[in-house]
Amino acid sequence: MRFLRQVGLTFEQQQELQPFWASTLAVWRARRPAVLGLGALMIGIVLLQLLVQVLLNLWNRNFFDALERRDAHALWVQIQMFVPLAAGSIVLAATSVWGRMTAQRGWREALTRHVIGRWLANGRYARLNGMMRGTENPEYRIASDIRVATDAPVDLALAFFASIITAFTFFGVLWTVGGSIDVPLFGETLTIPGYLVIGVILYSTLMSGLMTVVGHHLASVIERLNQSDAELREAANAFRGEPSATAADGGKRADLSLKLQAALLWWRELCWQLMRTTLISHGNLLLAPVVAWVLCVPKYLSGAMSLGELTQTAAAFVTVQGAFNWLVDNYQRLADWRSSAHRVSTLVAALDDLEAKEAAPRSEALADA
Amino acid sequence: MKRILVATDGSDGGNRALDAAVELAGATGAALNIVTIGGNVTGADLRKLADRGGDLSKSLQTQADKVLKQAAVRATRLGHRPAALRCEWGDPAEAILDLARRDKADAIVLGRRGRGRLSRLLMGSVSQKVASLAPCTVVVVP
Repeated sequence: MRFLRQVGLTFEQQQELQPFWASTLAVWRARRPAVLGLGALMIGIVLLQLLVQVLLNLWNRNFFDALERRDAHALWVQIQMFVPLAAGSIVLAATSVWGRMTAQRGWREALTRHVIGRWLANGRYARLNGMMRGTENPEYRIASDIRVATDAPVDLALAFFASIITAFTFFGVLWTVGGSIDVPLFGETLTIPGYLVIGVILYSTLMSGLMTVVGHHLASVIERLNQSDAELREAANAFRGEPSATAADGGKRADLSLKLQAALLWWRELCWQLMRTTLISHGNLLLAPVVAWVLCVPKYLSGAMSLGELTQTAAAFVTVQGAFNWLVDNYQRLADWRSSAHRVSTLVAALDDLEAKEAAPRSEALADA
Repeated sequence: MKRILVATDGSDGGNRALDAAVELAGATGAALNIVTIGGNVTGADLRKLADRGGDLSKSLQTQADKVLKQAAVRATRLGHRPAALRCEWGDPAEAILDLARRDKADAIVLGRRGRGRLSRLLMGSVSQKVASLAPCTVVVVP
């Protein structure tokens, strides 16, 4: 579970991100109605999308049952039903994009204005550079890191919520439609209830386990690459305002080459890590539907399951398996977010420090008076 | 011949090139500049460093400094104190050629041992590239 520890946050890392969350809460409180409204809207959209997904899953069953019966009228009815379902799904997907991006834009705007306000106040921007390690390139942190730090959590949180409710909903489909299976064992018959639920849990555990083994360095490599990129920017930034001859001949040139070399080496390692994880993820993409079909086929061949039920349960199996993969699918984004949020946190912590120093003489003066 | 540039990575091949360069510098009375091209790190090393949150730039610099220090000690012991120690980064052949032009070297000495077989097949060996493009004499030590 080393991988989970890498992707998750240790107590120290949570402490490091505290300034980021404190600033976020401050700007959220100031816009409480908008935050609550958008939050409710996005949760509503996720629930409606799940409803449409369940209806499409049922439609799948009815369509293939009609096909198996060669029932032209029932097929025509199903085709007519598909139109509003598809339209609903499309409208919800577009609304979801609007909701997510509006929330991300609002959060980014509020946090960026908040940080810029504090950065420019009392000429702090002039005193900040080089004050403490990790506060270099504040412009980049404000322009880019805040974007990544506010962008990813919205998508990740919604995807996580959708994955949880999708997994539980489609467990129900697998349990009721898949039913139980009788397995002959040493002359006896063993009945396994909800065998497709057990199957999807075992298969997902196997795939997640494989991904954990193969990709357990990925999160830390991404984080180191992001850090190296930031150091490269910092090394290039050091040339600003330098007379050309001094800049070209000095140690700054060597430092820039060194930082570029480090970033390229991390990039090379990221390439190898992604190749390894792609072997598993692409294999899973091909294998998951086949596993679902193979698990359902005995019941279909025995006549206990119709063609519609077969396609419905296979689709449900793939849906649940996909929901289980939330962490695996998103750890690159999680690692990116962690790096950016950490850089924003360091900047905010430095601004807190400066504010505290500015406030101290005033407090002393008031006490003296 | 006023200045000789020798490239080493601390390997046996690099040491043989250094020994030859010292001998050449001794015979001609030329100044000896030693260069190492940093960044020779395996994937396993990178993964270890990533897991413990290490600083790659610092590790690369330390590794390069160690190679240069050992080369300087070896050259001095062989009777020729180096005039300059240089550390460069990036493509080895490009970096050596660039430095030879900047330092106005009259000769470049380097070992024949290059990268791995696949890299050599794809990109050609460092010694071949340097020998083809150098503005001065190139000595490739087997």
